[in-house]
Amino acid sequence: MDPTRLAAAIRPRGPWESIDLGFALARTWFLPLWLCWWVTAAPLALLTLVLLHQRADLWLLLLWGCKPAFEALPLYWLSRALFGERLTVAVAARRLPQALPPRLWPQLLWRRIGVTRSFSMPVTLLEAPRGAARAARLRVLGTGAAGWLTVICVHLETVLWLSALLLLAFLLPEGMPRLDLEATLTDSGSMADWIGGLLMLAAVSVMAPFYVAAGFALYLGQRTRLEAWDLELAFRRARARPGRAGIGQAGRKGASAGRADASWTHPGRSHFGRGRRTVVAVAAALLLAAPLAGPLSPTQALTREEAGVAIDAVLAESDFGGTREAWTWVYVGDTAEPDTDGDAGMALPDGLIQSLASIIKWLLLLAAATGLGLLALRLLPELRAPSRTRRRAARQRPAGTQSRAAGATAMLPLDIPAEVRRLLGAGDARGALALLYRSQIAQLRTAGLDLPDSATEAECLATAASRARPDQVAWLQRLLRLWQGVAYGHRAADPGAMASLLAERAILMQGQPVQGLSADD
Amino acid sequence: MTPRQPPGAEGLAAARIALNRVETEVNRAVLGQRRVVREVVAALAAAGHVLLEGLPGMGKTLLVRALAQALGGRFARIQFTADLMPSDITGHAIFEMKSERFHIRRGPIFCNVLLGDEINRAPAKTQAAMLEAMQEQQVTIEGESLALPPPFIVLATQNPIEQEGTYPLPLAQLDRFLLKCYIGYPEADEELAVVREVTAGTVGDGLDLSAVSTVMTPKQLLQVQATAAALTLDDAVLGYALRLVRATRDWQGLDSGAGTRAAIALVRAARGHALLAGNGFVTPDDVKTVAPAVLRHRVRLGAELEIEGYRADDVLAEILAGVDAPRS
Repeated sequence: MDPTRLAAAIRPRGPWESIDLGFALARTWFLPLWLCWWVTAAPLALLTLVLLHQRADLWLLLLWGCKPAFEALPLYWLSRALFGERLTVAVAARRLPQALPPRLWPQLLWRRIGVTRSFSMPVTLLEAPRGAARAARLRVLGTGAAGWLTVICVHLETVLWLSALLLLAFLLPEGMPRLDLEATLTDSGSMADWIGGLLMLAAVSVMAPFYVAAGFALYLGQRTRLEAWDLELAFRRARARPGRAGIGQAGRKGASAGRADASWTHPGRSHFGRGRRTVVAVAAALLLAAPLAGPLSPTQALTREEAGVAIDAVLAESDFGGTREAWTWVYVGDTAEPDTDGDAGMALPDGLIQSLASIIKWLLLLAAATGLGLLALRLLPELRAPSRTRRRAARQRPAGTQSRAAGATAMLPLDIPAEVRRLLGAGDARGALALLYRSQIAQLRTAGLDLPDSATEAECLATAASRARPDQVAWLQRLLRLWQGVAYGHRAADPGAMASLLAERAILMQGQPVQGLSADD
Repeated sequence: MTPRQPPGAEGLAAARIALNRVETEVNRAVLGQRRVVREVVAALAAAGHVLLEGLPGMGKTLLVRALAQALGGRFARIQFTADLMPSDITGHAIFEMKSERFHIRRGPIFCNVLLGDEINRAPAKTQAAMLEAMQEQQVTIEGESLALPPPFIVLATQNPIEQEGTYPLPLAQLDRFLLKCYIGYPEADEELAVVREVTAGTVGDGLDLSAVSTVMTPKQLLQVQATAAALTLDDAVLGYALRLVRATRDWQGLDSGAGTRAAIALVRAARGHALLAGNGFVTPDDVKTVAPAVLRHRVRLGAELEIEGYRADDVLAEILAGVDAPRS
């Protein structure tokens, strides 16, 4: 690593500024980063294509799961390039085993779905902590805005994919087969699905350099903020200058002091800032003083005591020794003494106020829950329309829509022939035929035929004809003809025909069921 | 109003045979549209007007011409256009110099069977001119009411896809039509027969009605319509028809349901269908069979269903499946 050849200014940055930096780096080095991504992705994509050539969705899912492996090489390349080591893609490809994380499987399995992967990858790859040390390290560093970075990049990937898909769909020349957009999501294995999958892979590959670079920049930002990495690099640069060995030594000490100071002050930002300012002052003084002092030979290096004296001298100067007072308003809470006299007798007890507040709070919560419930009850049926309109209509069936048939069907007498004869004896031929009709419907239903209450005579007959025995169908046909004539035609029932129907029914009931028709109810 | 006596077996048979002959004759000219022909003949028996909707080239005009040919009587055709005036339909009064009097010149509406071709191409004012004729069987010209010759049947056609330059019929106008029938594409074998028969030895693309014979006179049609009106109608069937119509008013997804005239039309159409089937009484099957054609133009789909691509027939199928048939 050559700190003098840093491609980006390392200084404390906020999370969003770090992401900006990452995106700027990705734009600068997009091509090598993109190619590095494909160095890993392309072979795997081609190999798995052989296995999953009929399932574009599974193929895409597999590649999506392997994204951490694809992003290792771009990260490796970027970590080198940032410090001046510009590898060619070929060289980077040869270093792939070195670039991959030491334990890849966790990255591809349970850590794959972590939303802060962009941040944890640099930690895993560049520092290689394991187990509890890794967790502790990540806990110390935090994650910055890595979660939001993932959300943003997923959205950008989706937008890119949809844009490409729509562009292709709308700009296909006339005469070419149209791209079925719905099939890209629903028809697995279709041409449209493959096109959608390839475009998605392309969108993911385009976003990958930005994701990796932004995650790396977040990592740099966090380290800089927490570990004063900028100072360390500044001292490294100072040390790296020719003939600055003494200053380099002092700088190293200063850096150590700075790092210690940062560690000690973490997480208090004010102390941290003061420590940083002190160290920067010292470093600046040393760096400024160095040219004035002229070149130093290694033998002229300052001892610890001499350096301390020099630092104290610098700090004693007016530029660094002055103090400044600044005034600002800080809210420290209500310090006024409670008014104990006056309307103290009118004041409500604290306990009562707390109770009232609690009751009001629960009432509000209850009202909100009730409102949400009512809203859901109102909206859900509308969302399900019209496929479920029948259910709602059945529930809210207007008066008169429900005929007596359904209820009557459900309440058939046990001995139907006896009841039919009784009704015939009472002169109610219509009632007797209706009973026979309903009992036959019930029997057909028991046999598994779908005969809703809305089925008319012709529909019942057609349904029965599809599964019942011919003699049963013929009997039902005669029954329905007689029933319609009596009920709807107001014709007198032929006693002979009625007796014949009953007799034949008894014979039919004794026969074995055919094609699912059971015996009597 | 005294209830009519149910028709005797002879009258019933004669009416059924007459209707079946008309149906057969129309089917000679119009191939592959048996369902529509049956619906139209049922409407004829019920003395109702029919709105035929279908794509161009489906045989709408041919069907009406064939029906008019089979019926005999006076036939007139009006091609509805944007510049058609009401007086072009009903007629107008002109001053005759010779007699120095106003003389009423009757329009084409004075006929037994009127074909209103592409009715939705005329503006609302012209469409409204037919309202009185369709509902009251009379026309008012210069304050004088003139009765139309019975029977008077309007068969109108419209094209469902060409909306540019059309004036959709208002609900009040649609309600005057007893049935709205869709003419769809015929089956492959039927279409093959159509193409073969129409192109064999035929020059040009004129409508060939030579195969259609006149099998009924207007007077006979009036008798048939009287027979249909006298068919027995049980209260259970009447209640069933009413439940169907009322269900359209409470069904979710419909902005407006069918009115009372729809219930009347449903029963009338069911009578016509029952007579065509040879029954002396109306059954729930008759009601259910004609219900889609009677109700589809009398209900208005909600915006949500329209956006989702549903048609009135889809909702009506749900309604028919949700209303219990009489079984007692």
